[in-house]
Amino acid sequence: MRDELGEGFADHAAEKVRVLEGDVHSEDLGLGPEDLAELSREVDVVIHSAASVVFDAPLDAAVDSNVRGTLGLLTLARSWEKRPLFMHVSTSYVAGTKPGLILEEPPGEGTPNGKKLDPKGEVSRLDAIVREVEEASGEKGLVRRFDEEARRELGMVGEPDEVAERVETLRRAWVRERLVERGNERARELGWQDVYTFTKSLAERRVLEERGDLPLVILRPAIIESSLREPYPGWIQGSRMADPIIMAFARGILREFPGDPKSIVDIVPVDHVVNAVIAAAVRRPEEPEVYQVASGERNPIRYRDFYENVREFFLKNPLRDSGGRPVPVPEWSFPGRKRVEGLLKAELTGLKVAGALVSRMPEGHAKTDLRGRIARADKRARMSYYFSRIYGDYGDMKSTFSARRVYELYKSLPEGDREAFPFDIAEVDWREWLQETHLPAITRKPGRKKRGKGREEKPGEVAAIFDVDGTLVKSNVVSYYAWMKMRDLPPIKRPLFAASILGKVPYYWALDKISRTHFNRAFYKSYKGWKPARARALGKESFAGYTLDRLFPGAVEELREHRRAGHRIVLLSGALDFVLEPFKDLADDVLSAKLEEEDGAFTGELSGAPVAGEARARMLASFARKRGLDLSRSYAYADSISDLPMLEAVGNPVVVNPDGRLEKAARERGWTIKRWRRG
Amino acid sequence: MRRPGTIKILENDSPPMMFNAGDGFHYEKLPAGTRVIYPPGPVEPIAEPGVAIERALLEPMEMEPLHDLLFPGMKLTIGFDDISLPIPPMQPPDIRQMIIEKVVEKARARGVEDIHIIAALGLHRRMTEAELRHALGKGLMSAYYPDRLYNYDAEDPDGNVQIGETDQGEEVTVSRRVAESDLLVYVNINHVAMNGGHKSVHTGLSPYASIRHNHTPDTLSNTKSLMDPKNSAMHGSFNRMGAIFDEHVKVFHIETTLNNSAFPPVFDFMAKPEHEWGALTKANFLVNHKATQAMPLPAARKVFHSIRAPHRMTSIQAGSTDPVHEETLKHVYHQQLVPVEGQADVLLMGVPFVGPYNVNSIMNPMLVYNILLGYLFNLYKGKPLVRQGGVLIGTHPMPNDFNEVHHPSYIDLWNEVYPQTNDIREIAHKYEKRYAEDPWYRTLYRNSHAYHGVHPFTVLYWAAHALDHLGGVILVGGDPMTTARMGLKRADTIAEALEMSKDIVGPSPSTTYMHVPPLFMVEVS
Repeated sequence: MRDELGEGFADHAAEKVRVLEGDVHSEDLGLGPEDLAELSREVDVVIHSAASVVFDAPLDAAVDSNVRGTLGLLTLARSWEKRPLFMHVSTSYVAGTKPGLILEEPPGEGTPNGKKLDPKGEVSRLDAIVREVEEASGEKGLVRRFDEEARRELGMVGEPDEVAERVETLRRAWVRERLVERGNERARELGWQDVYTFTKSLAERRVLEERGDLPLVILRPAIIESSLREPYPGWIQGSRMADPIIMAFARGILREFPGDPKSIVDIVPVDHVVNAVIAAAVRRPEEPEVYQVASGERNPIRYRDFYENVREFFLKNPLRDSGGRPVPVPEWSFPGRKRVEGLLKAELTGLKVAGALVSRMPEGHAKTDLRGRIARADKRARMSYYFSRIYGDYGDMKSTFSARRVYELYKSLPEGDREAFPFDIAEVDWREWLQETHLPAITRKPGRKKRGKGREEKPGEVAAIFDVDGTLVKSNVVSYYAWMKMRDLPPIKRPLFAASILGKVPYYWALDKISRTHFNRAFYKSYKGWKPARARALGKESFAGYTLDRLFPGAVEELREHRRAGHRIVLLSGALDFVLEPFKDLADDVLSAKLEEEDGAFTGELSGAPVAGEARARMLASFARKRGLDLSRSYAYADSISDLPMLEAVGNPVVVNPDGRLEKAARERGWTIKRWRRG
Repeated sequence: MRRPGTIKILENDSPPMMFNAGDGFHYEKLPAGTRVIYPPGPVEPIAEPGVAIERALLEPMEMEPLHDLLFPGMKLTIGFDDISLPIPPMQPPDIRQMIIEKVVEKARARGVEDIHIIAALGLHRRMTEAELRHALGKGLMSAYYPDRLYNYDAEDPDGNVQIGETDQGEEVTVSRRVAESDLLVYVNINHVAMNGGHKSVHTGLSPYASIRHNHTPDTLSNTKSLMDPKNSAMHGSFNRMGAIFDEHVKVFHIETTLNNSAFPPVFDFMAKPEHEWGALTKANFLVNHKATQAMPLPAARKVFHSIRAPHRMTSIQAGSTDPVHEETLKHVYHQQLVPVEGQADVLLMGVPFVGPYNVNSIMNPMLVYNILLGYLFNLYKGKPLVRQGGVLIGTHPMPNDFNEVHHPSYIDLWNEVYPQTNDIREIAHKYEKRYAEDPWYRTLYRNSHAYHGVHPFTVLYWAAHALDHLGGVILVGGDPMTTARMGLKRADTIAEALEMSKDIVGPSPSTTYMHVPPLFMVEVS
């Protein structure tokens, strides 16, 4: 509408909609006397649809939003002059785990599993649970635990107020976790899936108790998905219910579904829901009425059909990874929720063991690589497990939502209204809607990343970051050392020295395979006792005498190309500063390793962290922050698997003459691979 | 008694003429009536150079003797001419070594400790350790290299300082070490008349910021000629800068001249007129000629570049820059100047294997262009040997060959710019700044042995006066691609080139062959 109306949008909206800003948690919704007076005078219909649709919300938040917020508005509306209709938008899933046909009728006194429930007393009980958890969090043993953890995290550097702040954060996190647990515990005890459906049902019950003489309609949509027609096919805001599962499937994360393929996935297009709300809003029933906007009874779609449609769509229109290659979609066999969760738990345990083993390995790219794989597998398994816990009950429904009253409401409309405000669920062709409307709509939705880019106002500088050894120059730290050392030795001693270096090659090679960082530390000990001035002179000489013959012309061309494009040239290398000194005119910044000096000689120890692996990526990140570089638009060139973290940190990674492992990684990610040669 | 420059008019039975043609020769019979100008023989060298040096330092011109300028605790800097002089490099001991050893000896005797010795290479390539050793000898090297004996760095951001500006807005920037010294002793070799004087400091110890003011196509087209400083706009600029420099830094200038004994006895044919060749000399030439034709180019190049010239010092004068340089020029002209009557319609010249910018290197097409149109054409005092609108014919194969280490920016200019234009003014306008500031060339200049990124531009501008003056330039034996790219005509033989010249200068041209090398100059009346 904004696009269509342009500048006229604001006027048009003001004509149709009067917006008041309030808060369901505050007294009188946080509105002033004038606003309240206007509401009292003018309002004919109250449509309450504010709720927290978070399945694993902490108990206090769920009660506040879903129960108290609703009652707050209801209380206000009861005092209004026109005795408005109060429409409470609920959810069909308040039926909980109760099997069979769920009729459109008020909840009664029983819970889904047949227990008796006093709504007001239940709210007090939940409040008591919240208080109990709060109190328990102040228990001495726990506080000591928080305190210890805070100190451990902050280490020696923690100031007392920082520690106190951290303790409070830890305590709140603990409370929150307990409240999520306790809420869902109580919900399940009474026959609901989770705290969401439980508190929504509580709200219905409380509204019935407190409505006084207000006419009341409870409208229970099922899973709301994108629109069939209005404002355009495929419109929806946010992605709440089925969409995260669809996307997890399409991304290959959800490899099995923890549900019953025969059970109904009860979805309705959002414009049907809106039309039903409008149709119901004109009613003024003396006795409360309930409507379920649902598809399960008149036009059901089952999980298997849904899955097959989704799979068909993503086979034809696969998502693409960052390298632009299609993501393969999994095939589900629906082994049952228990088995799915069992396998996931086993996988998580295995990964935990693997993680513990890897943490004992020395730091380096081998470790980084494994840790990355484990982390990815762990994330995938955790997400699957989470989906299973959260959505599992919805995929295993034994009930069907009746929608006869909604259909009658629809039929009762005059012909013209039926055409203008259709909500007969039987008209939906699920296959067509999924393939042509809904799935294209949710996959087109811009990702968070892209929106972030659009918002950026002051773009950072673009940098071209080059590794040196192996990338710009066909060389490595050992050959540099050997060359310089040879220059310093009398000719007669050179062969002996060469032989001694050769003897150590296998050791260095193996060490480098495991960890570039370890290798650098070990190798730089060779410089122990060197005089810095002599090292600088040799470093300068090495450029003409050694480097130049090994420089890749392609690299230099690329570097100058970046310079012409106005990019900031950064050399980021594990090589030593005196070797890189001659490069400094070529780059805006040279980030290199430095040796510690003591009494006018090198000690053989690095001063500061080695510039390799993760440390290199971290160094780059902090440098980018300081210099205001935009890494997402920057370029990085490197040749070794140990450079992977650095390459991953930029938007345009380029892999140069890669080793086998880096080449594989680059292919998987669809990165540019360049082969630079001498001569 | 030395032989004066001679002029010979060829007859029908005159022998064929040899021409230098890069790393080889061209040998062809020229038409009767061609005037051939031969260089004068070498001037008798100073018998005892050591004594002469001592005397020059003791009795300087318009200045106190060197030892009176030295005092303990002072900062003394000695600048010396780089590898571009002399050509070919001289047999050891090099004059620079002899002089600087003497200067250092005196300084140490006076208690001077802070001594820096700097190769005044300006925008030329850094000299290698071996080249420095060749110029200065082992003693100085082991005592001062590399901390206190080093190559000048025009791109060291902290190493140069602006000391003023001329009334024509020319920035005067020089080496910081030099500017901060109590005394600069400059040791030069005057091989040709354009060198020495204020040019030494303002090209050798100055960065591009200064050099860019006088190395432009406009200045060079008003430099008539380079070898005649009084009529050179470029030297005018050096003198303006020198006046400002002299206010800041005390300079003790030592200039020397060499005789033109450029070739060792095996190349005796180079210095001897063809009609004087005996059977042995002729056989020697023909053997050399055939050998260089048969050899692969790099091998021939190696032979030529191993030549160390038996140059000998003919004069040394020291003291204040201007009087010293005036005296020096007298000696240069005494060795080199040949009086000639009348200009020619067509001038023939052989292009030798070496110029100032390809010592131990390759004379690439731009350098051939520079030598022919910048150096050889300008070897005159008064008016050019070839008339306005006349034709210059050179002999050189101009191979498409570059030294990657020494001339990287030449290579890029050749590949990037020359395919589009060979107009030096357009090239200057569009590309000079970018090449001058390119960080890659800067890196190579400072750390490798590369000429500065802007150097090829200055080399091309030297042709400006010749291009204004001449009606045509033909390169005999030139590579068709390279000559076309440089904007020159080519021919296979001199006969063919002379035929082509007739379209420009008319049907019966007067032709002169200026028989270089050894280098000499003409004064045309």
